[in-house]
Amino acid sequence: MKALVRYGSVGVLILVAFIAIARIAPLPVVFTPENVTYPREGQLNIEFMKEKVLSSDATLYPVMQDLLDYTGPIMVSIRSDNFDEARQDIMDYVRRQGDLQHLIINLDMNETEIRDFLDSQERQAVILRELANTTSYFNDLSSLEVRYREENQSGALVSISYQGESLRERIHTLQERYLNESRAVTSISARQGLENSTYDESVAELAGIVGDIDRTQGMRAQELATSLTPSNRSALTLILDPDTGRYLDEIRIFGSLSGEGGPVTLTLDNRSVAELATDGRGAFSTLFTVELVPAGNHSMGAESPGIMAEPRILVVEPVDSTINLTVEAVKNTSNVICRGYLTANRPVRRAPVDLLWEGHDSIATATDASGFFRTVLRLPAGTHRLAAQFANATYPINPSVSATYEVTSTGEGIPSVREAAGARYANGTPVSPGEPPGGLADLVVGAVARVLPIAFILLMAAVAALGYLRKGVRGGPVPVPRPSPSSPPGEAPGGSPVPSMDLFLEVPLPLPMDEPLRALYLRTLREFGLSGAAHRVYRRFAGIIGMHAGIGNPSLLTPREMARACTDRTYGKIFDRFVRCYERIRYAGLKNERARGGFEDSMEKTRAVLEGDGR
Amino acid sequence: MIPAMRKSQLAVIALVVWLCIIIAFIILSGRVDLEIFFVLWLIGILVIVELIDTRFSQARYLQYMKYLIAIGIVIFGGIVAQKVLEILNR
Repeated sequence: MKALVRYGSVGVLILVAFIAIARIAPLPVVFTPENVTYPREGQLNIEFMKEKVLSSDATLYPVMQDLLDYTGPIMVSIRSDNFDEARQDIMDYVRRQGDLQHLIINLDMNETEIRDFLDSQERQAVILRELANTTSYFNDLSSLEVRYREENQSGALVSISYQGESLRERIHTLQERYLNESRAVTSISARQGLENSTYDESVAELAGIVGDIDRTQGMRAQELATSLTPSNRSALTLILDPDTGRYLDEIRIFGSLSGEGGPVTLTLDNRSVAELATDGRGAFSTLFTVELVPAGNHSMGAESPGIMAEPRILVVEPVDSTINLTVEAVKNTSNVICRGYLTANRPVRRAPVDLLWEGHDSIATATDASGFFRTVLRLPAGTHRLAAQFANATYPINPSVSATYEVTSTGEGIPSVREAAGARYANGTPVSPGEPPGGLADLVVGAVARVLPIAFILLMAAVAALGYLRKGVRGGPVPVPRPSPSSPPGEAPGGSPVPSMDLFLEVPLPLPMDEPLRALYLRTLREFGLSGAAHRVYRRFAGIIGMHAGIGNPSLLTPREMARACTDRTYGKIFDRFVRCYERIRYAGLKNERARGGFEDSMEKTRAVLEGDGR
Repeated sequence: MIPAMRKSQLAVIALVVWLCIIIAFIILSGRVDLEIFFVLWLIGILVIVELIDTRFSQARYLQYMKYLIAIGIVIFGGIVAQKVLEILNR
């Protein structure tokens, strides 16, 4: 591994460790009432205070500048109908405001104009969010208009026109509010020496958005005026957008009332669900959340004294639900805590849940606003079966039942709680115990879907562990120049002559080839010690292997490279073991008997195999 | 050059100091989280091994530490898998 990569990795690990510590470490109380003494340095030294203020400003300005630069791109996104991106940017913008808020609190700048700047930024975030929503609604109207024009529903077109007018006015109001804020922000930022160009761009883009909407609405009103005669204008119209919904979906309901206007009552299946006031033009709108509405078709109507709108059909589609239950024993009592979570397409809020006891008795509880429920049961002595069930036809949600728990109670304690097979529901229909919901195929698919990512992660971890162990132990093969068949004997590829043994032996130390290896080893051991002797023996072997393997100049390769170069030879493994022993003596400096014995052993084995066929 | 024995002693001392720091912070936070403790230990031992590892030869104790790290990586994978399961069950 290259040094840069190695130390870079170490640096990253240290950084991760510090972040982890920072997450678990509490904020230290640096100045406790006991150890604070007055006056402090800053209270005596004016220069110190000036430096402090300067450094505070240096911290604040980049954050303020960032906030100023946020609004321009958000306006561009809104104008180009990228509402998702705009909403994401607004969330980032609000998060960044939190940074400034922290700085203001830490630097105790609550009474300064930086605080005014932040307040204004917060109001602008609200305006931007409303602007994104309103512009998105306005765009939706255009697609609805096309649909109703094709269906030739003149009453609905009138409603769309009125609704568009209402949205246009709202956008004008938002523009005024934004301009008021921008004046305040611009003057503060000019005094603080901040760059305003991106911010000014947001004002220009807003003017563009308002201009586009004015044009679209003007054309819409004009087309309507020419295409409709007074006789075919309906007195009270009603539009649902969309007209199909599932649990907790929001349906936008709007319409218009011609004439003097007045309150409009919305009805669902002839039951009043909302009372709405109309604006000056007779338009009304509201958001209806599909919650306690059974699945199926429903008639949505609108009434005003003496007038009734043509009813619309609201289609509520059912969704499957999942309920889970965990049962925990309370120590030293016969109580168990039953807690769980009910979810459909979204968490099911404030819904009734039954805790089934022995399959027939039930205890009612309910989910909270996030879909969680929790209740405590006291169990008499014996074995009990517990499960949680949701089944309520007033919700557009299919029933579901959790896994069953088998709980053993002694009357004074709970020795065991274990999951058992139980009845479940599939697509709203109860199925018998033991039969998996949705059939065996669904069960297998579900299990595989759950097990696969876990198995994958564990496999990756095992591979990483193996890779870590093998790292540095074996590398790729070293490219070794070998003589090609076309090369004349004694020449390496490319025409350069393969150095003879004599050339390899042109090294500072004399290496007599006729001297037996053992004798050479013992002689150099006496003269130079174990390290020197090991070196001589290695070079003897390297010379022989260099000739066998056609290695240009073995003295240019490290022992490990030499070992890698002959892995495909019969003596490859034995020589590799010899190199490891050699490295321990030569590089790690081991001189003990164990190292010496190991070296001599591997030396003898290598010699034997090299003196054998040597190929 | 630091002799091999000295390195092994240094490694033990560094690891003990690192564990003491982690334990001190855990006590200060008043929240015992074995997973964080384990991950921090793993990071510590990884850093130590990377710093004392040698290029050409590998001492026996270093090899044992690497086996320990490999087991740690597998356990870390298990922790990640458990977290994934928790998220899937939500």
